[in-house]
Amino acid sequence: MGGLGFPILTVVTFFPLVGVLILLFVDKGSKRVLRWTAFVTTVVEFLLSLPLYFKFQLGTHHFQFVEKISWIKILGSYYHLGIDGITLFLVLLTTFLTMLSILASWTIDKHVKEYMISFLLLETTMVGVFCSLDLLLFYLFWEAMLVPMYLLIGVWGGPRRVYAAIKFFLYTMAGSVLMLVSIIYLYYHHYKVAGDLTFNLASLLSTPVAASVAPWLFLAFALAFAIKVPMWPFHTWLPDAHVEAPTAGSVILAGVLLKMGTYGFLRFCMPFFPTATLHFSYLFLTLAVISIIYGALVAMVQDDVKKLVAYSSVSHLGTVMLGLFALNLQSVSGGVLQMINHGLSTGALFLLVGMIYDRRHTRLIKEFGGIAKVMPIFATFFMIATFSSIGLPGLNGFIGEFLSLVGAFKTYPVFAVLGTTATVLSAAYMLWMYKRVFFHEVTVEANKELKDLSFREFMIMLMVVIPMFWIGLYPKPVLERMEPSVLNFISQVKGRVSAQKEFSPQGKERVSMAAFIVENKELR
Amino acid sequence: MTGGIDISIRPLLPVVVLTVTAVVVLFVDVFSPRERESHYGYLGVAGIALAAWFALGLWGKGSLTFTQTFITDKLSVLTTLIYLLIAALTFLFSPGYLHHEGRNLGEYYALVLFAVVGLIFMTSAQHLILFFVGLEVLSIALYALAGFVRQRDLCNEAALKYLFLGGFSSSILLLGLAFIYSVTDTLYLRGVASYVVAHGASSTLILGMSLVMVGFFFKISAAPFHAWAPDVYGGAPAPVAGFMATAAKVAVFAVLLRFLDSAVFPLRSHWMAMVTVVSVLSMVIGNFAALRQENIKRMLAYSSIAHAGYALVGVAAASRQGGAAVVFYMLAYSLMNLGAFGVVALVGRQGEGYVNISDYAGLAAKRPVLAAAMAICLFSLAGIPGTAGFMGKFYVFASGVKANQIPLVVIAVINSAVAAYYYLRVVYMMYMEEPKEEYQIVFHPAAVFALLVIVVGIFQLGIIPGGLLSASYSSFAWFTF
Repeated sequence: MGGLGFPILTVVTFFPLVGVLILLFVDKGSKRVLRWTAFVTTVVEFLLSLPLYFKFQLGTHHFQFVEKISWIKILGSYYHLGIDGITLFLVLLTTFLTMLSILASWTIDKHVKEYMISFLLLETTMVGVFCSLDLLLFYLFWEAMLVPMYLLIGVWGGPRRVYAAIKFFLYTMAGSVLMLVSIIYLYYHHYKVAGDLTFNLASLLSTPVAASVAPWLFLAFALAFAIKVPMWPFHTWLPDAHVEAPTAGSVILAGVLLKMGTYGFLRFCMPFFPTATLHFSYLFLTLAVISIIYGALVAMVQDDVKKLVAYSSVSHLGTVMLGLFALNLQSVSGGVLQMINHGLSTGALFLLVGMIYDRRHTRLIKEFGGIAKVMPIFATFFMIATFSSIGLPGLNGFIGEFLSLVGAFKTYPVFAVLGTTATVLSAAYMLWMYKRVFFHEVTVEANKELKDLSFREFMIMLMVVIPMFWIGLYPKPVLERMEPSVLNFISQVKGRVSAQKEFSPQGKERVSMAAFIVENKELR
Repeated sequence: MTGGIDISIRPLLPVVVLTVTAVVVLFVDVFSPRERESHYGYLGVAGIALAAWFALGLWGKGSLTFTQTFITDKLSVLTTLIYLLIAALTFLFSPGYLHHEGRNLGEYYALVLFAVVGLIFMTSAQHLILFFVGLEVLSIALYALAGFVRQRDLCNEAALKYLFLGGFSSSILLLGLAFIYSVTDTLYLRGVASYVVAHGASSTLILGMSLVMVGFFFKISAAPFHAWAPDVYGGAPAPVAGFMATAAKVAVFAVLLRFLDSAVFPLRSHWMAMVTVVSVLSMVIGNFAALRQENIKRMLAYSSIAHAGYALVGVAAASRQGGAAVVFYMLAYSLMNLGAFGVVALVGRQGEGYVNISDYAGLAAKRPVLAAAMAICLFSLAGIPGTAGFMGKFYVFASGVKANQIPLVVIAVINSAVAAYYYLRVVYMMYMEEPKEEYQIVFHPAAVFALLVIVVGIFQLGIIPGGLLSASYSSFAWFTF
């Protein structure tokens, strides 16, 4: 349904490879050509992904723009793509952030050709992860993504890049291989019950798993995704990877890769094993709250801005997980929205940190102070990103955080109250950092001569800030597109556990959602 | 086309072509002046192509000839094609390498061709004596090949070690055959099976079976019978090491499947446990030992021990799908391993002076294409999706899950995550270290072409494996598995 007459998802997924092909034939010495080729590719890619938004059909949770062709016949695997209201925004976020990342990579001077090729390959695998509706295809993209990211961190990263790259690779791979066993188990389980070999997401969802094995399968999936999110205590790869990755790598890592973890919970882990989800919900809510508080507290004591932002990701993603496991319309919508918001705000922060690092080659807070005086435009953008990150009303961060916490409060008040400390703590560490970096007098000599943003940097920041205000002031287009999918997700998890428990997607909850949005506007 | 050829000769045509080619190579070598040396490889490839054409003609036309000792089924045809591919790729890698060593002689190519003849007899044998003859034809050719660069001490050491341990394992195998014969009075595979069905298992028979399997485990370098592999692969000339590590392994796995299926399938409760234990040991010992290697040839040797362990997961499944998975895995493994050894041969240069992992520092900056080919082979060995290695592992592990061998599969997947570390180390050296030197690598066009074939093959098997998966599946159609 919702077809455009041509396989748009295939085009969006594989268009970056066209750029790769062109780049292969560009001389490695002509860096300008390489940069522009990559940038134009990602711009076209972003423009290609926009019709997904405009042609998206409202009011249905069914997958749209579906493509399905037999891929490996003997295994019953299909090349099966499609998006719903949740993945729509994740795909848009991916194409958007990749475009900005390429623009932010103008300062990369080493092996430009290989860098741009890796980045475009990464884009294909990321879009592929979000669009795949066949589990084997999903796994293919999911794992293949490690290679370009490993190279990006390992070749173009900071001083401890090799350690960080290998740690990232091994952590993620170790988590995913057990998921693979789980996927294969589901595949044969479905075969035994239903008699057909398929990796189709919908078919596998329709076959419930015996209660004796479900917890194990759930945990295998959850481990893979929890590492990616990352949830405490599986987060230790993240600060290393973030700090060592080049700016654009951090942006993609925080903006898109972490979302794959939460997306995995949302699309696979929880709907596949609803009973196990409810069974383990206290465990995951606890881990989510620990991630929120731990991430925030550790962020507070960092003396490196990039590390601070990295730890704040652990905290923010904890809020997302809290929202997902609270399992009601508001909390899940908030969680999903927070995924997008975090991509924008943290992406923006990493971009800004990268800009100042390019100038000063340090990210230590104590090396700065009074920057607002020498770089007023930079300071303004940094302020907006900071406010977005801490959830100031009027900016995107507020809606997501507020919805998920309010939703969580309805089902798990204690966890929600604990989670709410995040808003206080994040304000504390962000504003304190902001104060130390931007206010007071310029004390360090080297900072006196800093140039404000260049035109290129200004354009990057302008582009990130627009959707921040847009979602913050008028979230309806986003929420109404994701709502049917969110309701479907909740019914998949809850509805299958207790059919007797009344659940009406179009009834009471929907009204309260609409009322809530109105209420929310008044709040502002 | 058949004309006067007897129907029972036709299955042998690939073997005949290979033998004739080998003899022709030897004759040309005797009668031609020294400077024409580098053309034997192409002559060999032409013979291989002809043999492959005949072999393809046998696909789907099963036959059992020579007093029911020589079977031509889809398994033997498919494996024959794999051997021919391996031999052809070896021929493309070898001329440049041997030229530098001053050993580009006709007998090298003849020996490889004879080895392939042995391989084909092994996999086609329905009688254990014919199998043993095939194995010895292969082994003797390999002993000579392992020491082919005779001016190098390491090479001689490798040949001698291989000779002793190969002879040792052959005699264990023969002892096992003797035990089996003493009980069953036959060495036909099906005959053994009929005996077991009729009379049940006796302890002598189980002992015989176990000894035969130990012989097989030696040949595929599965732990704990693996100790020879690092020394032999490490010492043998790199193209030979690639050939040994792939062709012999493919054949012995095929024979192992045939033996376990056709002869002793009723005893599977005994052998499945044995295969499982050997599989776990191979994966664990292979991977953890590989982590510590500095010499890339030794690292690849330990990695090949681990890969034998992964493939044994498919054998332990004791199912048609398991068998098919093993054959597909062997094809995937052969491609990526040949590619890796091919790059090792190129980077090693004359006298293989550069075979440490640290010698690969910055290769990507100086020789981007070579480094990319190596990286693709290594990622495939690590089992990254999109490559042949992933599909092979996936199919093997899937057969394990289907056979409810979940603990074994979990051990296998954790091992493959561990393995990623040492493959990545080489990638890290190539891409993330600064080059120390200029890399005076002499490219031989044939070797570059071989690498291209391998890279295309790796992606083809990794992205659109459908056809070959079906082919390997259908090659087990006649099995009881």
